[in-house]
Amino acid sequence: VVAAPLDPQETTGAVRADLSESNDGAFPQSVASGGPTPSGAIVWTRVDPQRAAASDGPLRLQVVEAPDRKTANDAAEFDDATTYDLETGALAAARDHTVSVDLDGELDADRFYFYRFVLDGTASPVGRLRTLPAADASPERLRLAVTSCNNYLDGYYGAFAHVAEEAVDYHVSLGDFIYEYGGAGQQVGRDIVLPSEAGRDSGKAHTLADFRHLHRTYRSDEHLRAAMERHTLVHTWDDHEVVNNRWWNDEQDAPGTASHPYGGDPERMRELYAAGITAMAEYLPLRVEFTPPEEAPEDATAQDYFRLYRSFRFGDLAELFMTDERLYRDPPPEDALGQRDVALPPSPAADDLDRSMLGLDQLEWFLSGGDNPGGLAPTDGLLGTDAHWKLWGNEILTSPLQAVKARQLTFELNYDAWDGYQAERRFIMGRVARRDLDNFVTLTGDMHSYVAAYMKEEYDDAERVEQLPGVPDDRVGVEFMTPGVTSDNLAASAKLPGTRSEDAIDRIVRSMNPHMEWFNSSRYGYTVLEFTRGGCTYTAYGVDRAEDSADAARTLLRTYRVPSGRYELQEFATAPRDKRVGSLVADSTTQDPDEVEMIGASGASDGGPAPGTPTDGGPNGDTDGGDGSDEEGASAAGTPTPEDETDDGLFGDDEDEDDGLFGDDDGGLFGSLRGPGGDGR
Amino acid sequence: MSDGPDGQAADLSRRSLLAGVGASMAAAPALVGSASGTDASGAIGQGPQGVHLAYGFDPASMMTISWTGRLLGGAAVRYGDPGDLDTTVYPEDAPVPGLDGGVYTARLTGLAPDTEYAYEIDLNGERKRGRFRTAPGRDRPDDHGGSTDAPVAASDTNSGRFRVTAVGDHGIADPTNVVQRADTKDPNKVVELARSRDPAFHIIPGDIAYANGVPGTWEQYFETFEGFYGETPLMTVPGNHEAEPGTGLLQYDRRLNDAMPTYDPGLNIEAKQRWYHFVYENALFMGLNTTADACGDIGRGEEYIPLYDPRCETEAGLTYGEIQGEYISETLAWADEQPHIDWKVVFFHGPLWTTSPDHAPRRDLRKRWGAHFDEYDVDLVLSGDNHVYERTRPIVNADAGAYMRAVENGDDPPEIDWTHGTTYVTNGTGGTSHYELGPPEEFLAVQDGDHFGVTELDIGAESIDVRYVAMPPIGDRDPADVDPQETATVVDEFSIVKDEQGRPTQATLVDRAEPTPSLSVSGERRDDGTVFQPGGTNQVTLAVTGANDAVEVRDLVPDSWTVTTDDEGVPYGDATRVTSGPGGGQYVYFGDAASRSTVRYFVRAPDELGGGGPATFGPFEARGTDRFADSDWQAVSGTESTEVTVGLPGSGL
Repeated sequence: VVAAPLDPQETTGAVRADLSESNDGAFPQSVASGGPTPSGAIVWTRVDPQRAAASDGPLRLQVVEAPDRKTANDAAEFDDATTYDLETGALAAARDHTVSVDLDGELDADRFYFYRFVLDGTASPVGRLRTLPAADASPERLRLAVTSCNNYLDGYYGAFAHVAEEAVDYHVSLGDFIYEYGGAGQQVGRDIVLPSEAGRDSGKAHTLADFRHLHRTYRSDEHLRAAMERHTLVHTWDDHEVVNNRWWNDEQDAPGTASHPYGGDPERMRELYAAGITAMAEYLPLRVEFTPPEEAPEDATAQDYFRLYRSFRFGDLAELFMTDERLYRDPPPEDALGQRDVALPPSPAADDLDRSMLGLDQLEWFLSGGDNPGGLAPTDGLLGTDAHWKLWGNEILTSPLQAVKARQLTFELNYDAWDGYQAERRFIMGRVARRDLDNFVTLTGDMHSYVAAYMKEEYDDAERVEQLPGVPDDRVGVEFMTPGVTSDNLAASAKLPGTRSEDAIDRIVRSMNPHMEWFNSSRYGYTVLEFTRGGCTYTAYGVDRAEDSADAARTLLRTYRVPSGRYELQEFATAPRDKRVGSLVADSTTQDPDEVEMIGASGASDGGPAPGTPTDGGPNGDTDGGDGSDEEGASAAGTPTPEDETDDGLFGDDEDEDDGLFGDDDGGLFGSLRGPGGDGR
Repeated sequence: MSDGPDGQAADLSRRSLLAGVGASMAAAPALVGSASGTDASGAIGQGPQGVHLAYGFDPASMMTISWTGRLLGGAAVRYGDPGDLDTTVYPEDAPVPGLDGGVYTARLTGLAPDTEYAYEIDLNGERKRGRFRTAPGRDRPDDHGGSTDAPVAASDTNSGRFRVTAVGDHGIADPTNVVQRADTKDPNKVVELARSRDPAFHIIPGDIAYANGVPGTWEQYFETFEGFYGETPLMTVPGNHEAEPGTGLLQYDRRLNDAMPTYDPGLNIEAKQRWYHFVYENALFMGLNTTADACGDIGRGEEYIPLYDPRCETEAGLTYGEIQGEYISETLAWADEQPHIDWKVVFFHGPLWTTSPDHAPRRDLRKRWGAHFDEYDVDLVLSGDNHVYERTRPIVNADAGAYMRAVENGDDPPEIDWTHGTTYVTNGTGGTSHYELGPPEEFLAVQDGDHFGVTELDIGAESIDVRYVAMPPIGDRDPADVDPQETATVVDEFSIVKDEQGRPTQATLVDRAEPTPSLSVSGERRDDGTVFQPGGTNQVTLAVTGANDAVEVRDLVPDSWTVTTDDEGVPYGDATRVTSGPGGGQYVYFGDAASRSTVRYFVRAPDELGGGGPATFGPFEARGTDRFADSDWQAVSGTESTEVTVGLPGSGL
């Protein structure tokens, strides 16, 4: 039980020193850690139900300080570990045999620890956790791996394997950790059969058993397990932890959505939320306020028994505000054409002053501060914090994504994001601007895209910082979006030609959204954010979701740096990929150490060859016989020109074209924001 | 190491069978430094050539790889752990004037500190591979995560020190270039010498290729020195010879400035940034530009445009010199506040303090930039321009400037304090020529005009140990007979330390045992699997994926496995000899296969069921055969493999 963590009682000598992991299935979802505090973190595991039933316990937990940040989990030594006996009941079926142990108060600040669970002489895989720095510490560096949108059906988790390898301090998850969907996967072995009949019929989770099954399935993936074993999770949800594109209907005091059979039924929606939230609280190591719904007062709603928003302080270097954009938000804009989360045609209600995304209490907490769930110190809020970097972990696109269809008309694409709650966005950005807040960085997800953008109070003006010297800076922060790990991106949803169209899309999206520096919705992967007192660095990786391997091909896409004290996105690595076939070459050639000669080994190249003399390269120097065909291959691969791409129908000049980027039907990019069939996958 | 014909054939046969790569299999990756393809005309070939590295903003996590090649559209760099190039990045490209091709610049970010990486450039189907090492992360070596740990200054031990080499006015003998400067192999020997000193990175403070308007000389330059620059980051600033007739600094900008850690999104050519800084462990390095060309009259062939010439005024109303002045002041002030930065080293082309009459000292910069160096206690300034070696006494520009003005005016110079201040080293002895030495002025400590060589900095917590490691010109000797490691001597050596007030001063160099370079080998093992039937045969392939010497290898075969041989006892595959090894195992040697990057042999699993339990092959071991010929056998980490024998004997069932 997360909100009432098991109280560890220290014991020693209870576990054999030579115990090693035995791969006998006792801990099928392995281990995980999350919710760090300066003196602990939550560690998690799940015991195989049959093993739990057959065991008298006790379940034990061992924790030992890691010798350094490099040591691999499987090289951990537990000789000097502290051993905890966990309360009987940890093996109970009530929480689906999941166990969350809060170590807050047990550990030293700013440290890595290894941990493992032990049951009846069987050790779990080794996990690693990291505590937060003390509130008054001055860390030099903070590195975060950031992920979102892990639709299991859509692809493999090679990106998580790479995340596991990253030398980061924490893993920030920005929601859609699971999807409510079952059914056939896009890849071999990625099907999900939901337990409930309604779930199987609709392809959407209906019951607690459905949600538990989804979490178990996702966490059975070895790459996701590896990432969870290696890094401490800081998570906020988005819609799919329960149901697509959801909101809160104040009149009914119940959740709403247009994407589920229960959508119009307040009571069943409350039950759906109870199931989704309960399963998430069971399966993820979350530091939140949560009372199991069955223990809550009878008329309590999710807003009463669950609070997700909280802030994590990394000494005085950074404070990360993890907000909840789903539990309190008002229904989508409604006008004469009805209530909808799609933004075409534009709705005047998108700008309504009384529509809120965060809800009043959370908004007040976010801006001005308040308490935090157990173990986390109260915050002074975004406007009050003295942390150098003010980080906002926020599931959904914060800056606008606009499209211009006709000359006079600007409209947004997706009312499910902050574009549907423009008044509140303007309010927040206005407060930030009035305070002249520096080093404000928003981390977002949800849209299965990479975005590097400036946040502003007003987006209608031209981007002014560089063009007109002397005009005051109107940027109030930067936004970095992390892409989907697997979930269909817009190019996939719109059936655009993969990465070949990515730079054309980037150009056109930026032309309509001058506050954006980069937009890419043609790849999958993750990002790494690094913060020092000198600057913030955003590194974007693409990872092939079609390869079920820890070595799935990874591409370094871009790196941006934001210097401390001013809002300027400085790009390090830029390559207009659409005019080259490098990626095709890279994909088609194999690397084989057999064929590699190494630098410096022969000593022959020290002085370099004399001009005109035979080279020292041996046969390699002469093996250029394939050049001609390579060249031909390049052109045969159809290197697209920019003209080609813009003719792909991405932006369908022709008003009658429905499959253009901004076509009205589902096939277009606009439609894909809802996803195929409007499900927003 | 070079593949012998045999090794090549063996590799290709396997590859072609397994992967069926057809035509592209012939294009096995070359190593950087094994020049291939460029002819003497300096034309740009199809594949990558002239590879050179530079640090990004953060040497611990960023590296830039540049090369030239045809702009046909297919370029990528794969990089990663030497055994696993799992990440791809695509380069930017830009044409270079005067050649059919362009410069590719790939920026690698997100690298782990103090880590060896391999990279493979893939251009138009041709591949070239090299390696580099990232800088140690200042706050990350074996910290406990310890982001709050006290800053780790390099301890004053050998392992905590790092080495940098620097020399300006380099060049390359290019017989096709009638306006070339270098016409001997001395520049090649200087690179050989620098490389033998094994620096973390190499600085050229200007006058790099002396192309002087002939682009092919740039190609020759980078092609020739690829073996060094392709593994050792090259940090440069422009000299007057980078401002070339007709094209100005364009060749430099495309080939080198774009690779330096500048951030310059603007298009203002007058203000184009050719200055930058980076922090390596406990030292700030700041490169500056004393060559402004955008406002000069190229037609007049002005070699030297005053940086404070109002013709160079930018939109912001600042001269090129003033912009840099602001940058210098801000950067040094910032560095001064960083507790972990012990040293400030600045490099640029035109020297402030020199006697050689060919290029007068930059008196204008003494007053302007020099004031910042004084204020922030810059420890060392490296320049070139004059083809001599000169080391000053510690100088405070304001005082020494007044002193020299008095001397030059024939007045009695004021009493000044030469005991602290910045040391200025002019070293333009890259191999192009020598200039006259001027009179040994009071501000000079050492001058030398007889050698070519590098200024070597060994930087630790307590001192910068400086040596001028240099050799006489080749002269009439056959270049092939000149071994820089044998002929080079330490012409000058001193230390820069801090006085009681924390100001830089000079001291006699306290001899520390030099870090001894040692054999470093990485490799991989591939075999047929991990589970064998009794009596089954395992084909083992050992690959050396990286080594700083030619090596021979041997493998350790576990007890009860048998190296298979023909009837005459000759092992199959590449093995030549089998001896008994530890633990009842056997060593397999490969004789003259030492020059190959991969070797194969075959072993037979034990006949009995279980085979006595899991058996571990390796790790295989390597021994240097050239540079480290006296090295011991050294295990190649990560090349163990454990095999289990299960099931019935192959003859059963």
